[in-house]
Amino acid sequence: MGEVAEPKTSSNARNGNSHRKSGDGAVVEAKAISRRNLRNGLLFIAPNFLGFMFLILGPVIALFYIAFTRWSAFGDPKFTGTHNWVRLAHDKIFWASFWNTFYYSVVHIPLTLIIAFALAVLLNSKLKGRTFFRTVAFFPYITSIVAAAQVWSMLFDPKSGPINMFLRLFISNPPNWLGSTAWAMPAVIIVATWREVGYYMILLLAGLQTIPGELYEAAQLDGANGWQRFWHVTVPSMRPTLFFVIVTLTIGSFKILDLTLVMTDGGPGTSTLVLAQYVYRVAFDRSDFGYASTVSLVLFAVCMVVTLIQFWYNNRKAD
Amino acid sequence: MSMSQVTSESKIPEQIAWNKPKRSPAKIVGTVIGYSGMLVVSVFTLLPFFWMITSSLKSNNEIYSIPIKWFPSTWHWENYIHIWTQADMSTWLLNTIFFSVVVTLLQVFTGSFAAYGFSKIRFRGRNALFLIYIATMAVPWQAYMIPQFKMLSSLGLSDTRWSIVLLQAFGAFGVFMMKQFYDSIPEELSEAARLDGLSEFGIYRRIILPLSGSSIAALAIITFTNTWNDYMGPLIYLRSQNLYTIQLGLKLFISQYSADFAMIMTGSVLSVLPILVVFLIGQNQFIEGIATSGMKG
Amino acid sequence: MKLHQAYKPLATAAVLAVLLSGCGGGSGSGGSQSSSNETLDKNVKASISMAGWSLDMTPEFKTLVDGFEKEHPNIKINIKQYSADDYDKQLTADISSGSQPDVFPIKSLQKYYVYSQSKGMADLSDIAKGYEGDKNIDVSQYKMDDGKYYALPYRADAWVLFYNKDMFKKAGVSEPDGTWTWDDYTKAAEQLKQKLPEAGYDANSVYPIYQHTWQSVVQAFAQAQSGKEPKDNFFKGDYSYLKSYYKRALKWQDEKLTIDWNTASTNKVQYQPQFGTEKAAMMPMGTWYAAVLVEQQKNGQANKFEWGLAPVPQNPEVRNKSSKPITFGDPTGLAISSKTKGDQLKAAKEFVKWCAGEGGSKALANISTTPAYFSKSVTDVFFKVDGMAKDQLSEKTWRVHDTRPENPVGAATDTIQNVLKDTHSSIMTETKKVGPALDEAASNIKDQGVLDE
Repeated sequence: MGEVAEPKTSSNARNGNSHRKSGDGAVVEAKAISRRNLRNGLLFIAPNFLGFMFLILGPVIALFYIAFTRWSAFGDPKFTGTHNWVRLAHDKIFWASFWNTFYYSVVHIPLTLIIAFALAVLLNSKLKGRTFFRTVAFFPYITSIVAAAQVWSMLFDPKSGPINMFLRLFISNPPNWLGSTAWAMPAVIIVATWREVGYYMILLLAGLQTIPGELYEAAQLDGANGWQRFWHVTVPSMRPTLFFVIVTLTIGSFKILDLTLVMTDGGPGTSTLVLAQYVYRVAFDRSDFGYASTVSLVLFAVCMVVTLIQFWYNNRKAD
Repeated sequence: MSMSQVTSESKIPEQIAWNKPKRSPAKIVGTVIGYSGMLVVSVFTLLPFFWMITSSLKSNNEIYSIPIKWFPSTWHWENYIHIWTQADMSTWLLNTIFFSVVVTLLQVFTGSFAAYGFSKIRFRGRNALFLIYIATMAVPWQAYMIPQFKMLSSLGLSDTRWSIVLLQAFGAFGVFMMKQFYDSIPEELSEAARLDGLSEFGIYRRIILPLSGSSIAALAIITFTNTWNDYMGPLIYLRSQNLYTIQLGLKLFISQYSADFAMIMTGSVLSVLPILVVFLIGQNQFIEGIATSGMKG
Repeated sequence: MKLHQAYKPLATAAVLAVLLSGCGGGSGSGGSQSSSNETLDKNVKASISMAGWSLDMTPEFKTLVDGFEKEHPNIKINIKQYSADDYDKQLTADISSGSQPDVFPIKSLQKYYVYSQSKGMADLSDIAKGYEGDKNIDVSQYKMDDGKYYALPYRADAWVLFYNKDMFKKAGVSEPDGTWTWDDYTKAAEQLKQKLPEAGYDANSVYPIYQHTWQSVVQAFAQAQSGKEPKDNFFKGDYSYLKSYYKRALKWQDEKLTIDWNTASTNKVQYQPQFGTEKAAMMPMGTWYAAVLVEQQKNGQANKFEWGLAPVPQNPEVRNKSSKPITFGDPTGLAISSKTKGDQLKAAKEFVKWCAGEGGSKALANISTTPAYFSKSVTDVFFKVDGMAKDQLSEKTWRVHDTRPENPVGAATDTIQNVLKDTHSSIMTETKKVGPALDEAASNIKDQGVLDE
């Protein structure tokens, strides 16, 4: 990789800030800088972008077309206009999975975020044995999902499971968990949170490490207590990382698939059927890739709306 | 909120309860309760992993039994010998190591490079381009994997090492993650370096890269783990036995009609060990309080 | 204009992707290579590829290939390993990009129907014609509406009732006699429930029957034994024929004659140890389980006990008009890629023909796998295997039955199946009552808009 654009003059080095200046020379200069920045920016992005464009963006764009067709994965997709979309509007199973996904995300996102953040903060301290506890927290993420589902099913067993044995101390009629339409989703959320907390903890931990220690010292001198330091030093410094974690967590939650596949397979009935699993079923069980793409686009749209809100909020806060 | 208490105190070591030379009885009790609480949570966290290990030593029919069995009635150590001799574990391991290492390197390298472009250089269309990156994360892979397969296949890349490397290495995740970490590095650092006449690449290499140890470690751990555990990618793309990864090999090894769960668990235990090693190496990068102040010169 | 530069690659990618998704697969012709009834010259060497799964654990593919190569030394067959569980995903990807192997198995009739639309399979009508009049083999299930065949069977599993003779004897309950209806089955289960504990079996873990969690265990029997054609119920959106079957299934689990569905499903209970370690005295299952049971009794994973096969119980409400017991089961077939040409096509056809015939069937019967060709000598080979059930009823059960497809085959099948799968779990977890659940299924299926097509 060659050295990129060596700026020679000091005025050039002022980078993007110079467009505020008025006058012809400044405009020309600003243009030059903007051109150079564009070139440099694209040069940095290029190695990743080339791969990304062909391997991911291309097929994703193809999906936007396939969503308006009938396609069994063989031969050419047949354009059907809005047929898939009309079908979608009347598809009760789609709507059930839509609301299930929504339910899952609304509970899972804050729960995971709070626990992971608390854990990251705790394990970023000089706590004795933190290496051990960090490793322990990451274990659920690397434990075979089949094993995890099996042990949790046992824990949730309505009659002999320890969870209900404990609950029976307080209530006479504990939930039927995976065998009930009302409690299967909470059970899935608990296991998903258990599994993912360690993963997001690692990301947040990396973010915490970029906070300069002297910020805390300054806050200390100003007489801020622990809670104030958390809100006024930790959280603002973590904003870029938090944005990243919240967006990936949101997208990850809306795309949840493997856990419900192993734990409940969508049941009982459609009570834990989520959008991604519906896409999977429509695509591979029914060989209906056109309609699967349509459902994917809804999933995509929901994720994008949430992401754009966060993007906008984050940019506003950052300015 | 006791958590925040711990954070802020952690930054000033003398005030941490458990590092204090003089301790009041109340604090000692608090510490004991705190640690025992964490140990209980740890046990709970490790329980499925424990079951996975004991199951790998059970006979096949004992694994899924009601009520659940925590220990095998006889210990089947031969499951491990069996899998080494019957299955081609060494080939699978080598392939998986190759894929995971190459993908991790590519993801970290191109991702952090592109992230620098997105974070530290202001150019037109930057936000739009970046949003496109994020947008692709919101599309479920199972919906576009057939078009993607057809494309790679028409280039003659399916059933080659390249297919898995290409498939995994250019995801938006690494770019997004590294960009956000770079955003949290104060702008003044790179600005000052520009004034000193450093090139963009120079700033990336001498200023930004040295500061991003922990985030690169996090990205590496996660990319490595995900590539290591990926099943669907190799399933769709690989057909030759000499290219199999661990996850694919194990799944293809088990029989259709008498599903060999003891063997799955044995394989799972074996396949987790390398991830643990990578995790332990990577988390050494998480050292508390790296000082950016020293860099400001 | 800078913007333009930045987006240019995007536009290119978009166009490229759309183009690529269009081309690639499926461009093969229907494969009407009608010239190839002539066999491959013995002196011409040919090498073809074939898909198989679990090669180290499931010997069927190697058995077929070895047996065939012995008789045809000029032909070499390379088996490529596919996944047993996700075979159809891999094959879908293969066919969509035109890279399927020369010979590939077809796991179910429904998938056969789907692949037949892909133009990825060669026309095998010429070989099929040779088997059409043969009493020992049923190739008709692969006959398409246009009269063409794109696959031939090599295995023909059907669902039968496995029962543990020792448990019946010890409990003093009379064994299945081959005339049972589902009511007789229930009666026997109730007697066993009472007498098994007295005979020394653990009352908490041993059940009279084991009903596996699959939807087919209830639905496919109900459909096959409904006395109606699929077009008059299944494809018409009328699922009332499932009602009495579900009522019985619920009765079994309420009376604890079987492990309840929810426990079995969330704990991923496996059927092999349930029957193999004498946790259940009877179990309806496909004949493929015979090979597993023989093997497991040999290696100690299953207990040693005497067992037998009986026809699956029949519908007590609808009298079976044919003389054979009605059950269900999909054949497993072999298809040839439409991309395969010339000598390789000839070699592949020879192989498929051999596998469907007596040669392949004997080789399979020898490893306790139920083949497609049921001649007297094949049957003898199958029952001569050490550890196989030996009695007359077992032999008759294995050989004589009226087998319907697991799912009625058609364009709407997968969608209907998918919806009925959710219905199955709703009913079996008793989160919905049978009647309303079936009504809801019918309405959901209508909403999918597949019934009219």
